[in-house]
Amino acid sequence: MRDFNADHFFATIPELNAGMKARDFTAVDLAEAFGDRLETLGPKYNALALSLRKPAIKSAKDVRGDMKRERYRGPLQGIPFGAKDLLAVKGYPTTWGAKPYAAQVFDYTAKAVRELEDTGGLLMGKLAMVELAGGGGYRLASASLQGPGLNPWDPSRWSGGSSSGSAIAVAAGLVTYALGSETSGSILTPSAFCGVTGFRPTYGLVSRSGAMPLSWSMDKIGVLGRSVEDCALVLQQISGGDDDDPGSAGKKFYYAPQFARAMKDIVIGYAPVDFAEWAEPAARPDFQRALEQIKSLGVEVRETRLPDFPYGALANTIITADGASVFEELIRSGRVKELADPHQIAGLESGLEIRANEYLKAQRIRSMVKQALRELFIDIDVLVTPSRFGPAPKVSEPLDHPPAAGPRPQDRGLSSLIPAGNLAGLPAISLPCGFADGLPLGISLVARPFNETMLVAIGREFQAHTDWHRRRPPVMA
Amino acid sequence: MSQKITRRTLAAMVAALPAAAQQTVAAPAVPEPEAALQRIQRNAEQMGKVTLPITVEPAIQFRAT
Repeated sequence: MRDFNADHFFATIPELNAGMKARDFTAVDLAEAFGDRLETLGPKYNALALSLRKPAIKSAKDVRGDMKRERYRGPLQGIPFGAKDLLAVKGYPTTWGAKPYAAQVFDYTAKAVRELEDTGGLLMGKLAMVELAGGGGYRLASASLQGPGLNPWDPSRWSGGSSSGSAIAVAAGLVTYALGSETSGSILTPSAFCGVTGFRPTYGLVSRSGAMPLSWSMDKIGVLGRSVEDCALVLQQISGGDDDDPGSAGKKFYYAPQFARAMKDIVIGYAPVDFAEWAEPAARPDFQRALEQIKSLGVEVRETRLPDFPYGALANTIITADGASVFEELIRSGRVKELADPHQIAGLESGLEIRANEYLKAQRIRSMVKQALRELFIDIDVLVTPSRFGPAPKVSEPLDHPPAAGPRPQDRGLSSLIPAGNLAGLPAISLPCGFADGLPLGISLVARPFNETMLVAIGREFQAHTDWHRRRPPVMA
Repeated sequence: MSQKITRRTLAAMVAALPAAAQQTVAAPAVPEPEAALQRIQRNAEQMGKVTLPITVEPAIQFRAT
């Protein structure tokens, strides 16, 4: 096996691809090196649900043979990746991060994983997640079968969830990219806390076939990676119509940066209050600098704010009711008590008490939200706001602890953009944008449905002028 | 990926799973089951403040195929 160092473990997809084509190393070298690293470091961060090192090496041998004969199948060929343990892989345990499902094995592989394997991608392992993707809500960072996701930048801090293992594995250089999922915040949050790029596609762009359902009209499969370009390359491969997913939009994303709109023709909306008041004091300087950096790209900026709706209440009602329906058998059998977090148990049980008229009211108001956001996007192309208003909390703290200081700002700004964007099915990208207390921060861009290309264009420009996404955490001994 | 896990291996893996590390955090002020029901009530109250035109349909659609 070749000698690998941090430059390889933290390389981007095009960099690794170029190395294989130049015969500096082979796909087998990569599978062995990343497999060893994932098996060694993954458990230390509570990031690894299941190592698939052996089958990955077997697949890598085929890739090596193909590349030797110059049979190239695209930039993802031979690249090591991980998948959130919410995605089925045929013949192996898929636990959904929850003890009641610890022995669950499916006889099929999730569509998104298949798409990546079909192009020569190397699935190195299943990655830890918050149990049942936190459908009933969760209060403990330890609400996961593997224990609390530990942040590679400071293991006393939480990784964020529910795609915790996916964010950790990318941040610590255990895989080059990872699949995650978001119902309301589960890609953007861990991406921001761990300092990686997170891409939540438009609802329906990526098939959820083979993924754990939580909320049928809100679940999305997305990517966590080392850069916007890496995420776009993966999204290009996994997007597209699928008859096995009733929510599929039948659309495909193509990574074609050459056709991106010029920065001067893009209007970005932001709310000053997000940066000046909602952001935690320690995070304000770097958030402000990130906003200035975005302004300096040549885009037009306008102040804006979200229309008034109870976004959190709507998302909570829909997800809790859907989740209780999905897991009704688990709840009624009493096995729900095997979950790690009492908050999650109570949340799922309470979902059975939501009345039909309340659920329908939430879905009707959601139609109004969709329309109001459509109107907001008439004059604005992209919204920008901090992904989370501060860095990762301590693992030992309850996640519902009140904000440290000061009263809540009067102006909502764009502070509810996570539930609002998810209710409307909008695409979003979280970009590493600085540090507070030595921990990463992320800034989010949100666009109209199926406007991923614009997010990629701005994100690429931002990352061309910053190096936050290239920073590496100290690796745990 | 042709290599599959055997029942015996799977049983051993499940048995070896560590119990998720329990955190020693302060208990919530209100017991969780009661707090969860209160959340549902609060959500309903907040949604009740929205003026909802009678013609608005829910964001779930049925399509005859």
